[in-house]
Amino acid sequence: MQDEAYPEKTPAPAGSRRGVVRHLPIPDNDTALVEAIRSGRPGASTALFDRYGGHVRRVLLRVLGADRELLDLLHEVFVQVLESIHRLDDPKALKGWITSIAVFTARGKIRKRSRWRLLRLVAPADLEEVEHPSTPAELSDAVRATYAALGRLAVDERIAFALRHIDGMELTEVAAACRVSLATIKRRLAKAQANFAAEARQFPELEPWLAGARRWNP
Amino acid sequence: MEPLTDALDRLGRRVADEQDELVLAQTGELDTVRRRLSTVSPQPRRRSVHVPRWSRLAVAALTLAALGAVVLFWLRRPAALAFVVTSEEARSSGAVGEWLSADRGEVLDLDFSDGSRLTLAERTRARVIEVDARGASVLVESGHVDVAITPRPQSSWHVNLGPFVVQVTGTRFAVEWDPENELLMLAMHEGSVQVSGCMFDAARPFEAGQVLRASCREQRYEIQSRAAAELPATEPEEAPLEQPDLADVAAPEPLEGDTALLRDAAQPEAQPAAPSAPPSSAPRARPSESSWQALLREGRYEEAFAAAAALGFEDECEQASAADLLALADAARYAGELSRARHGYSVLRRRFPGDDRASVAAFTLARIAFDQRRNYSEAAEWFGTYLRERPSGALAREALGRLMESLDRAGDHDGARRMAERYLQRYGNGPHAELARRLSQP
Repeated sequence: MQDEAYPEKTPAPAGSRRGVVRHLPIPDNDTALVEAIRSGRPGASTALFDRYGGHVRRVLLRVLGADRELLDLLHEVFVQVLESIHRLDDPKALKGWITSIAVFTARGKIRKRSRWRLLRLVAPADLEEVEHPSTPAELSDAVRATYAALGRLAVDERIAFALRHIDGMELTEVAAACRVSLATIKRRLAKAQANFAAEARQFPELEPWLAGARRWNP
Repeated sequence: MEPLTDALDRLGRRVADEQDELVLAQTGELDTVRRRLSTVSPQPRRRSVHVPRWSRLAVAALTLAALGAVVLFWLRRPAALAFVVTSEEARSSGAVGEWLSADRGEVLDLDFSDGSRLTLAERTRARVIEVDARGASVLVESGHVDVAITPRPQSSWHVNLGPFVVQVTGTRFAVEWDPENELLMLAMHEGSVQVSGCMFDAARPFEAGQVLRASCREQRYEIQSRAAAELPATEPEEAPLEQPDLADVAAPEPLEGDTALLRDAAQPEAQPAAPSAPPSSAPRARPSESSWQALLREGRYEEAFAAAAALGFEDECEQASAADLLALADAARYAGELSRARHGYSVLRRRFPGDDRASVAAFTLARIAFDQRRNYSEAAEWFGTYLRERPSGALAREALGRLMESLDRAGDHDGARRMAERYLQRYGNGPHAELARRLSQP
C-alpha cells in the first residue's frame, strides 16, 4: 500500500519552467495531522485513515460485533471526521474525538435498526438475526451468544459494556467516548453488568465463562 | 469464587481475540474504505481573523440585524422538501445524509413531497446530501438510479456520481455509476439535463433519446441517439427494475471528443466472459453484477460469491490471482458455503505454494475444521501446517494456541502438553496462556 504521508511529487505542466511542488512528510503527531487536513493538504485525509482506520474499525467491531455494514460505517465515521474537523478545539485530543464519533455512529446504527424492527413488526425471536445479519460462521458460539445477550441491553449500556469489557478501555476512556461523566459511566456500567449477567442465563454457551462468578450464582 | 467483573473481562478478552483474529484474516478491507475516502474533501480551514475590540459592538449589532433578517426570511421561506424511503417491507421518513443501500433483490423508492421519485435499483448505494424547497442533491456512490423529477419553476436537482454532476430541472432519466471503472451511463427518457465534471469542463446538455457513456478513467465518452419512444419503458410509478442496456441501443453516432471507440468500458477487463455466452447477441452484463472481483473490493462478499458461482465457482478458482482467490474463498465462507470455501482455499494452496496467502488458507482451513466441522484432528494438521510454513507469521500465536486446543480435544494429550509448554515459553501472557498452564500440568 502506498503511504501518502511520504513525500510525493506534483509534476509541473508540460512546457512550464516552474519547479515542482514537493510536499514534506506529515509529521507523526496529531497536531500536525489536523493542521494538514484543515489546510487541505493532499494525502492528509488518507494519512488520517492510515493512522486511525484500524482503531475505528476495532471500536465499531467491539460495539456492533461482526456486521455487514461495518465498512460503510467506518467510511461514514471518517466522512464525519473530515467534515467537522474544524470543530475540534484541541488537536491533541484527536484520537478520543474520533473514538466518540465512532461510538455515536454505531449507536445511531443500533437505534435505527431498532426503529426498523418496530416498523417491520419482527417477532422477538428473529431480532438477533436482524441485528447480526452476517455474523461470520467461524466465530465461536460464545462470541455469538455474547452479542445476542448484548443485543437485549439498552444501547448505552451495551456500548459501555463493549468498550470496557471487550475492548478493555479504561473507565475514563469509556466516559470520554460516551461523552458522559465518570460517575455516570460507572453507574451505567454497573447496570450493564447486572443486566448482561441476567440475560446471559438464557445462553448455555456463556455458562462456562460466568458460572464461577460471584453474582452469576445468586 | 471470582468477582463478576473478572469473569466478564475474561469473556470480553476472548471475544476481542476472536474478533482480532477475524480482522487479521480479512486483508484488504481497509484498502476499500481508504480508496472511497480519498474522494472526500475535508472542510477548508477557517482562518481566524483578529477583530479589534472597538468593532465588536458594531459586529454584534450587525449580527442582531442579520439575525432578524434571517428570522424573517425563515418565516417566509417555503418549506424544504420532505421524502420517504419505501422498500417492499417498510416505509420510513428519509433523513439527509443517511446512506441508503438497496440489497440484492430489493428496490428502494425515494418519494419527495413535490412528487419527484428516485428509484434505487438493487445493489445501489446512495444518499440524499441536501434538500431545500427547490429540490435536492443526491450522491450515488455506485449502482443504478431511475430519476423522475416533477417539473416546477426554478426547481433545482443535482445527482452527483463520482466526478460527474447531473443538473436537472424537470425530466425523467436513468443514471448508473460504476466507481471501480469510473464509468458513467446516462439514458434520457424525457426533458433535458446538463452534465458536468471530469471531461466536461463546461456543462453539456443532453436531451430525450440520448444515451451517454463516459469513462473518466479513459477521458472518453460516447453519445448514442435514438427515438425516445424506443427506449425501454421505465414507468416510475411501477418502480422499474428493468434498466436500459447499452447493448440494445442502435448503432452509435460518430464519437465526440475522441475518435476511438470507448473500448467495452462497461465490462471490466478482469471479467472473464461466460464460456457459453454468444459474443454479440447476448445482452452485456452490468459491471456491478458481473465482476465478482469488483464486488469483493467493495466488501460485498455475498454478492461476489453469488456472481462467481454464476460463472462457475470452480472455474473461477482456477483462473483467479492469489489475492482474489483468497478473497473469493473468504466470500464463500461468509456466505456459509463451507464446502466451496474449502475448495477455494485448497486450490489456493495447490496453485500458489509458498505464497503467504497459501499459509493463511491453511490457517483458515484449520478454523473451519475446528469451529464448524468439529474435526479436531484435521484442525490440528492444518494449524501445524501453518506453523511449519510461517513459524513467525502474524497468526503464529493463535495457530499455536489453537493447535494445542485441537490436540487436546482430539485426545492427543501428550501432544497438547508439548504444545502448551511451547506456547508458555513463547507467549506467556497470550490469550491461550491459561489453557496452556492447565494442559502443561502432568
